[in-house]
Amino acid sequence: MRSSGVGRWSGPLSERKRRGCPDQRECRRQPPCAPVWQAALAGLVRVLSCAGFLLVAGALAAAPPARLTLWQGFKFSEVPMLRRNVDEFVAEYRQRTGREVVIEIGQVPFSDMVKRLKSAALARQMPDMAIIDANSMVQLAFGGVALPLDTLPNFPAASIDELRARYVPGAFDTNVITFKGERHLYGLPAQTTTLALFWNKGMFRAKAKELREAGLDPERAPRDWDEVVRYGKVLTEPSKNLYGFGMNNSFWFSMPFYNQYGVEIVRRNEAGLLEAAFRGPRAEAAVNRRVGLYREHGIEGGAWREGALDPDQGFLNQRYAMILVGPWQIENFRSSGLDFGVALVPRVPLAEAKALGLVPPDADENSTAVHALSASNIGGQNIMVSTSSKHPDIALEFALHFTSEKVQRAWAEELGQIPILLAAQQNLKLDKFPEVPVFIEQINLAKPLPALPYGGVLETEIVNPEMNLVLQGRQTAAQALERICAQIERRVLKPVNDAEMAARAEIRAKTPSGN
Amino acid sequence: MPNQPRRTRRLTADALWGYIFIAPFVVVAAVFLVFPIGYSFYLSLRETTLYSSWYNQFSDMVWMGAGNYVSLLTSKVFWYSLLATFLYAALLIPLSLAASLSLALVLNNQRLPGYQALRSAFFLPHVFDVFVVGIIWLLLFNSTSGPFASLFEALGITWFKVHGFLDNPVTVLPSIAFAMVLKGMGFGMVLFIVALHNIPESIFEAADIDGASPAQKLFRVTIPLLRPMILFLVVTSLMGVLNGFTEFYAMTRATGGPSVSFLGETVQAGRVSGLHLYRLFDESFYGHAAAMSFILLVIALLITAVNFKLLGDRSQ
Amino acid sequence: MRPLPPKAMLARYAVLLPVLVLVQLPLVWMIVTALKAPGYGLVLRFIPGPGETWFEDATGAAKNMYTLGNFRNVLFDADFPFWRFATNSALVAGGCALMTVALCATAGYGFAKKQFPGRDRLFALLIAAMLVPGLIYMVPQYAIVLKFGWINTWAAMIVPHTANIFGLFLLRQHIRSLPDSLIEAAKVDGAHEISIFGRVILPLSVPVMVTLFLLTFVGQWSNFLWQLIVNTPDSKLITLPVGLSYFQGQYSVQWERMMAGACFSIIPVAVLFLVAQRFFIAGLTAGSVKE
Repeated sequence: MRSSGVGRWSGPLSERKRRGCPDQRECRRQPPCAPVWQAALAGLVRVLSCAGFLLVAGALAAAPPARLTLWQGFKFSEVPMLRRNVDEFVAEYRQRTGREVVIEIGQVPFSDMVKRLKSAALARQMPDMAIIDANSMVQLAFGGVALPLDTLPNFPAASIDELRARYVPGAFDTNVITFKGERHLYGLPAQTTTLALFWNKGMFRAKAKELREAGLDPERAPRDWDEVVRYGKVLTEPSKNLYGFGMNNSFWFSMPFYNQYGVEIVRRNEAGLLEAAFRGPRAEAAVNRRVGLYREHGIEGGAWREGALDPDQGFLNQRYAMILVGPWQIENFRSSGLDFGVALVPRVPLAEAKALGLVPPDADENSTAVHALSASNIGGQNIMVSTSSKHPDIALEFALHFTSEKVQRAWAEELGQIPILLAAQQNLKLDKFPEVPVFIEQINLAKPLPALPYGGVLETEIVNPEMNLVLQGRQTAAQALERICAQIERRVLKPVNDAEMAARAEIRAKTPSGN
Repeated sequence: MPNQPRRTRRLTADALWGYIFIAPFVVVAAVFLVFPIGYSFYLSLRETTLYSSWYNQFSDMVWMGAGNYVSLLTSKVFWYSLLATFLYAALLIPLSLAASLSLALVLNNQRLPGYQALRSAFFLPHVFDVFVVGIIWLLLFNSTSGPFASLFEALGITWFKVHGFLDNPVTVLPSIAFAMVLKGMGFGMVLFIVALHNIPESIFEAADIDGASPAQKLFRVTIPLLRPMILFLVVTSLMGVLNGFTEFYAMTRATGGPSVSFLGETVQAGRVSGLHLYRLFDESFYGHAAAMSFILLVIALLITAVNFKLLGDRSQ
Repeated sequence: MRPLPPKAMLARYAVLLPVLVLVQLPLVWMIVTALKAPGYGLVLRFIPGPGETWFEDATGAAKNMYTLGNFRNVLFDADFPFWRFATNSALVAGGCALMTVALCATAGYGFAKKQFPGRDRLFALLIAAMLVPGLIYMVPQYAIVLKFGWINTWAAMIVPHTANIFGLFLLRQHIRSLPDSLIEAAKVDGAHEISIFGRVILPLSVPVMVTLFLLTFVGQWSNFLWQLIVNTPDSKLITLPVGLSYFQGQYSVQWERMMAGACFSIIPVAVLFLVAQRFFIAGLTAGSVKE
C-alpha cells in the first residue's frame, strides 16, 4: 500500500511544468493604470507618515490584520526575492490604506501543486493565492477554485483586453478562459518561459572548415529548418555519438513547430462549440518537419525516446550541437563551462512558408511576417486568487504588485527572468544575463497551448504516443493526426461541449421566454 | 475454565479475550481499509465531471451505474494493459523463481565460506524503494551513457545502442522484468532457504540410496517438496504485478513507454494494469479508477483460486 | 564444518560474483552519480581525463569530475531544514512501525490462539483485502482523515497505514507455530491472559516483530504522496521525501542531484538493514508459510 514515488517523477508533462518557472518578484504595488493617482497617493502617504505616525499606529491597532496565504513552488534561490516582494507590498499597503496585511508563504513541490490544491480545496484549506503552472489554469477555473479577477471591484482595467495590452500576450492568454459561455480572466502571468535555440559554439567551431566548405557560417546559428538540416549534416557523426540536433517528443516541446506552421489544435465552430483542427497540410508539414530531422535527415540523435539521453543532458555532454530549451538551463550550462549561444527558434523556410500561405507571396527575409514565423511556446506560472479567499481584493492588489514594472525589472536584472510586463522589457540592465534579450524577443512571438481541460490526457495519453509511433516510422503524419483529432473529440472536447450545452440550456431556462 | 467439548452459543472467556486481542487491529482496519473499499465501490458507480467543484469533488459526481465498468471493458487500452501485465508476469515470475531457487541452492550450503555475507548482499536490494531503484535503472539502461548498451557494443551488438532498452516496444517489458528480478531475487532466496531447511535430510538420503542423479533429485524431490513455497511466491508475485505500477512509472518516465499499435489503437507498450489504474487516478477519473480496481480484484481472486487448484498441496 | 573443496568453491564464486555485481550495480551507480559534478552524471567515464581533476582544487585550473556539492546543497542549505525533515520522517516511520507491530502482534495472537465465532471467516476476509490495489485507499482515506480533522497531525500521517494485513499474516503464522503447551503451562501457573501474551508470546516473536518493524519503517521512510497531502505547506511535520521534492522543482532532470536525493532514501535503509539483518532474515523465515 506504499505510495512510494508517485509524483516525484516528472513525466514529460510535469517536467515541462516544472521547468516552466522563472519567477518574479517584488515591487511595491502600483495600480498600473494611473501614474497621476499614484503620484498623488505617494504624496498623501508622505504627508500621512510625517504628520501622524501615532495616528496610523492607532488605526493599525484597531483593525485586526488581514491574513493571506500564498502557495508557490519557486526555486529556493528565488524565494528570498518573493519574500522581499511580500514585505514591500505589506509596507506599501499599510502606508496607503492604513491596514495591516500578513502574507504567509507556503512552499509546495512545483510538480505537485495542482494535486495539493485539489486536496486543499476538499479540506477547505485553499490558500488565498497560489502560483501555479500556466497550463493548469483551466482545471482550476473549471473546478471553481480560481476567482475571475475581472469581476472584482478593484480590477484595474476597463476590460480584459485592455489589461492584456500590458503583458506578454501568450503568457496573459493562459489566464483567459471561456467556461460555460463566459470569458473571464482567472489569473495574471507571474513568470514566463519559452523555448529558444541553444547552439554549442565549440562544436560548430570544431567543424568550421567543413561548415565553410558547405557554404555555412560556423559563427552563427541556423535561422531556418533547412539550414538546421544543412548544419546538422555536417555536425552529425553517429560513430562518435555526435548529432546536430536533439529534441524532446512531448507535445509542449513540439509546440514551436505547430505554432510556426500556423496549426490550430482546436477551434470554435459557428455554433460556438469546440472541434479538433489538428489536421490538414500545415499540420502535416509541421509533423513531417519535426520527424524528418530524425527519420529523413538523421541529424537528430534519438533524444525523443524516453529512455535516451535527453536533449539537455546531451547538450551538456556535447553530444547534440543544437537543442530547443528554455532559460532555466542557462545557469547549468554556463557553470559546466560550455561555450554556447542562444538564438531564435529556427523558422519555417521562406519557400515552404509561402507555399503553405503562412506569409504573403511577396514577403522577403527581413519582413515582419517572416520574423514572426519564429513562434515558440509558452510555459511558466500564473498567480491566481482562490474563490474561498476572504480578501480577494488584497490578493488582486498583491498580484498586480507582483507583476508591476519595478518587481519585474528586479526579477529580470537580478535573477535573469523574462519580464511578463511589456513595460519592464525596455532598457533592462542584463549584463549578467546576456541570453535574456533573445528570450524576450522570443517570448513576444510565443503562443500557449490550447486552454483545454484534461491537459494531461491530451498530452500524455493522446498526442505523445501517436507522435512516438510516427517517430518510430510506424505510421504517417496524416494517420497520426486523424487519430489524434478523433481522440481529442471524444475524450476532451465532448465533455467540454456537453458542459457548454448544458450551461446554455440552463441560462435559456432562466431567461423569461418571449414576452 | 469451561472445557466442555460441545460448542455453546455463549461466549467463553477465551473467545472474549480473542475479541479483545483483535479489536484494535480490526477497528483500524474497519475504518481505514474496509470502509475505503466499500466507499470505492460506491465511487466506481459514479464519476467526476469536467465541472465538478473541487470543494466537493465527491458529492459533485454523476451517477454512472455500471457505466465505468462497461467503458473499461470495451476499451482496447484496458485489454492491452491486462495483456501486457500477463506478458510481464510470464517473464518475471519464472525468471525470478529460477533465480531465487538457484541462489538458495548455492547459498544453502554452509560449507561455502562467506555464505552469510552473500545472503545479506543478495537480499539487500529487496528493502530499497522501488521508485528510486527504477530511476537508477533508467540511467543504467540509457542507450548512450549506460553501461549495458556499452557492454553490448563492446561485444559487437550495436542493436541496443541504436534502439535502447526502455525505448522500444520489444524490450521495454523484458528490461523492467530483468531489473525487478535482480531486485527481488534475494527475497525469494531467503524463503527458499527456509523451505529447504524444513525438508528432512532423510528424504535426500533415500534418494541417494536409490542412486538418483543431482538433476533427478532436484526435479523429483526438491522442487515437489517446495511446492507450497512456490505457490506462495507465485501468488504474491502475481498480486504484486497486477497492482504494481511504481517500477513502470519510474522506468518509463511516467508515460508507459514507447508506443505500439494494438488492434488499430495506439497504446504504450509498458502500460500495464497498475500503471493504467494510476493514470486514471492521476487524471482524477476516480470512478474509473475505482471500477478498474474492482476488476483487478476479481482477477486477483480468480488467479488465487486457480493457483491453489493447480499448485496447491494435493494431500490437503 | 569442513569447507568445500577449492574447485567447487571457485566454481560457485565464479557464478555468484557476476550476479552479485549486477545486483549491487544500482546502489553503486547511484552513489557514484551522486558524487559527480554537474554535467558528468551521464558521462560513462570515471577517471578524470586531460584538463580534469578528481575534486575541486583551489587554482580552478581544471574542471573537477567529482564533488560533494550535491549533498552539501541538501544538507547545508540555509533555507532547507534538512534535520527537521529527517527527524519528522524518522518519527513517522518509527511511530508507524511501532503501532503496526503492536496491532499485528495482538491481533496475530488473537487469530492464532483464540477460539471465537467468525474467526476464520474474518481472517479470510482480511486476507482477501490484501488483493485490493493499494491506490484505491488513498482517496477514501483522505476523506476520513478530513472528517476526523486530522490534517497536519501525526495521527493522519501514521494511523491509516498501521492495519497492515501482511504483518498480521506474518505474525499469525508465526504465533500459530508456537506450541499450545507453552500457553497451557503458563495458565497452570495461574498467569493472566495479558501476562501470557506479554511473557510467553511476545518474547518468542521478537524476530518476526523486528522484521515487521523494519519493513514498515522502510516503507514509510520513503512514503511521499500521502505525507504530502495530509500536511499543509506551513505544517511543522513535513517529511524528508516531501522536502526533497522541493529541490526537484528547480532542476529539470539533473541526474547528479536527483541521485544525491535518492541516497537519502536508500542509504539509511541499507544501514538499518545491515545492523538488524540477523533479526530480519530470521524473522522473515519464521513468519513465512510452511504448512
